[in-house]
Amino acid sequence: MRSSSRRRNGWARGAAALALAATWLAAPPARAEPPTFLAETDRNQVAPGEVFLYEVTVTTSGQRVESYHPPEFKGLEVVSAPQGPNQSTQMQMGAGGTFIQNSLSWRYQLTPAAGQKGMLAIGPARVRVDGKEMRSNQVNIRVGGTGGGPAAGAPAAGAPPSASSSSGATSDEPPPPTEANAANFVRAVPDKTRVFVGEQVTVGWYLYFTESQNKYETITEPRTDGFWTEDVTPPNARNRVPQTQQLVGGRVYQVASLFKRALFPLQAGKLTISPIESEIAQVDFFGMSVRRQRLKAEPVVIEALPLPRAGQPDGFDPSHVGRFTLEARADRPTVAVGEAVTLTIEVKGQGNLRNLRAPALARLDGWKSYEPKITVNLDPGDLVSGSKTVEYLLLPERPGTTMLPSFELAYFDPQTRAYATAKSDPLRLEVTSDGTGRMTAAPAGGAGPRPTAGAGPVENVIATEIRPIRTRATLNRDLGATFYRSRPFLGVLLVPPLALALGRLLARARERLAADSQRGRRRRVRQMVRQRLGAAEGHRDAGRWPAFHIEIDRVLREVLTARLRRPVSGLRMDELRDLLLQRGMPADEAGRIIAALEACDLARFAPATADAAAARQQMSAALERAGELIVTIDKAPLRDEAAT
Amino acid sequence: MTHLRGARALAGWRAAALLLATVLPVQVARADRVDEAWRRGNDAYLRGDYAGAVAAYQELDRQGLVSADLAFNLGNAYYRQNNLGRAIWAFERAAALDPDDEDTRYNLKQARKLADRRVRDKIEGADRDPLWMRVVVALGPATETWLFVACYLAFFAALAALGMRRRRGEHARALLAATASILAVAAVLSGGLLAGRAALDRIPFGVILPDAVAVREGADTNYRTSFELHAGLRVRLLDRDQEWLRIRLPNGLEGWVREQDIGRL
Repeated sequence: MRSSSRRRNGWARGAAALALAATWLAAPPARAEPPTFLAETDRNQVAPGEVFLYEVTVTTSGQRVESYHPPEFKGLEVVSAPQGPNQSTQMQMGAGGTFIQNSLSWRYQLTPAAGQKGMLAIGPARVRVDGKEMRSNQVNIRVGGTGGGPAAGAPAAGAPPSASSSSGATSDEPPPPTEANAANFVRAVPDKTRVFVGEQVTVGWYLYFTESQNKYETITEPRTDGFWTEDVTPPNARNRVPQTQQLVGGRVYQVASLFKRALFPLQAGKLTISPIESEIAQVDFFGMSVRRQRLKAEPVVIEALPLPRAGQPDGFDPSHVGRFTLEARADRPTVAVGEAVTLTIEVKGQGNLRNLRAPALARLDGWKSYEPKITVNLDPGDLVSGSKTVEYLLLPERPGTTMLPSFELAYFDPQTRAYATAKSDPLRLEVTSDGTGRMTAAPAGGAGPRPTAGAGPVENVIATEIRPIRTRATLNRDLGATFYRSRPFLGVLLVPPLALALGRLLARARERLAADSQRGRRRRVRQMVRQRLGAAEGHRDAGRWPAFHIEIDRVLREVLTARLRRPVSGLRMDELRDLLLQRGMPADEAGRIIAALEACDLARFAPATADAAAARQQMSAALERAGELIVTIDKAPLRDEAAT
Repeated sequence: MTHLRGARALAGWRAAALLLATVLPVQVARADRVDEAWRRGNDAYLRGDYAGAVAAYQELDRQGLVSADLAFNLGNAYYRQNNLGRAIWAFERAAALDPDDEDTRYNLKQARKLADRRVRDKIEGADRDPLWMRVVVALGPATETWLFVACYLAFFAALAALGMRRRRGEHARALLAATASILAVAAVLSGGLLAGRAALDRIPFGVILPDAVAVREGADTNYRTSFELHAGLRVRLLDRDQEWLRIRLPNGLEGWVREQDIGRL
């Protein structure tokens, strides 16, 4: 399966090639383009000793090329010349036909000859095309400066230092490498060798090698005693060493920039930078280091000149060398007593900013100040420049106006060889007593820098301006904050109405129960009355006189007991009358009741009349009277005992 | 029979005592742990170990303890750490629990002032919260709860007293009826406040925690950034999509931010 697929692919490729060939054969004949002959370099400007490329190319449409003559490289050294031309052919197919272009090019590596500076012209090269001579264009190249190629930062042998040193301390022609014919060496190249104390000198360390090296290691770092040191190696160079080509002593080297340092002499005199020691090696197929070589650079001596006495301010700080400007500003447009204001003093310029002593804020009456926050921001580049910022947090303690005098910074400018003073504008601060008052923090003269917002936060503010924590032994919990979302709260909502309703129900039940017991009592009394009156009737019919009146007496007393809700059997007649009157019984009815009871008492002990019929009649009348009295007692508006 | 009833009552008391003996030590031990963590946090804070203080306070917070003091101290610890977004969030929580606490209001103001000094988010065209919301927020949940409970219970107590005094003097009854009416009105009003609080609880709010947050048009980092907000700004939370929250500003602007960048109130 796989082999058949491969076979099919082979046929497809063959068919495509045939089709391409057929197209080419069927195409119209090539149209003859006029030949060209161009020369160019890979840069327009080079440093002395720097190697650059020069290439000259003749392009034809298949014509014959012969008799090439290179140009005259006046003022230049040929580092490498081609053995013969590089040839390339280009074919273009289109609707207009097929075009074939042949190119022949010659590439040279050149470097300016020793002592050459300024503009150099590379004359035309010559060649014959189909018997006709052609001349290439002339190419101009400038020699000097730092060069224009990718290795612009790399030093050129013999001319790394700047010629612009104010002290005139230059080293135009540094000594050649210790081993001029050595295949590899390292060297330190300062941009100046004579500087003032505090003035920057930039030193670069470079590795020169002719064969490709796989390994590099610094064995001994150079010592820079007597200098304040600032590393100015470009950030990308720390990981990937930039390389360039350089001609030294007639030999082409690959040059790798190892690192760069800005040095500020701290004292006058000859200061020596000790040599760097390093090791290079190649790595074989198995990753083992072979052909190790230890390299050591020559020491570099820098002469530090003392700062001139003439014009030197009193108490001048020798680290203040360079060019500086000074600015002071307050960040707040408004402030009240207790509110913080940030005062920023900023020194900008070129020089040893890190070692520079920024102006300090004197004690301000009516203000509380905290330790300043100092930040240094350096710009990338060989020249140390940037800014140093000092931020003071100030707290006004009372309202009023405070004048902040201008801050001053004296410095020595090595370019003008003179002392100068940078000054800030004075500031006027107004503090009000409340938080809503206005405050201005502006330059007194109305000019100068305006207060800027967005100054960095100062932590001192945080540490001083809040109320302290709660330090109770136990943690207070806010039950109320969540209680209304809890189940007990539902209980609080439901229990009172339910309890009230239950209470009402109970009261009603109790009333009903009380009503029921009163009715039952009345029923029982009625029953008793019926029984007693029935018994009395029986006694009447049987002619039992005493028993009849005893029964009438009982029924009346029991009815009174039930109605008055207290026993009345032990009471005397006068006591019973008083009780009845006291409970609200009308006097005549009370009298009738008492009379009936007295009549019963009298009849119980007095003999009945001999006439049975008359006795029966009297008993019937007494029975009827007892019935009437029972109704009277029942309907009488008697009060409870408690109410009396 | 009497003996039997007495034995049952004794058994009931024993069971109750056993239950108390089981539950009470657990509660006491838990309270001890809470107080121990609270003291540990305070000690760390006073030593200057603000990270330790935050850890101890967070431990209590994770237990679901609701305490204005806890939120206040947590806010102070964040403040000392210069974590202004979280400090404002904690002070907001403390202020929500106890709006009348002057210390909380002061520290919240200080934290906001510092945050504003860095960057201040000015919301243009912001609507004010409705009146009911401002009243509810001003009182605080504990005040609203206890006010309502007091009025409610007092109202029913007055009703009960009125029922008991039905057969007594007319003057006393009239006085009781007037008291019950006043309490009824108070209970209804405080109940309304509490209902407002419950409604407010259902509207989630949050505070921006980091110094700066990019608010995006959708719940993904691939969406375009609509605007940027800064630490301490209070926003309303509308929706959630995995680890993203849709927020709304007081002027109606909406966008999405990561959930971790919002402190829920």
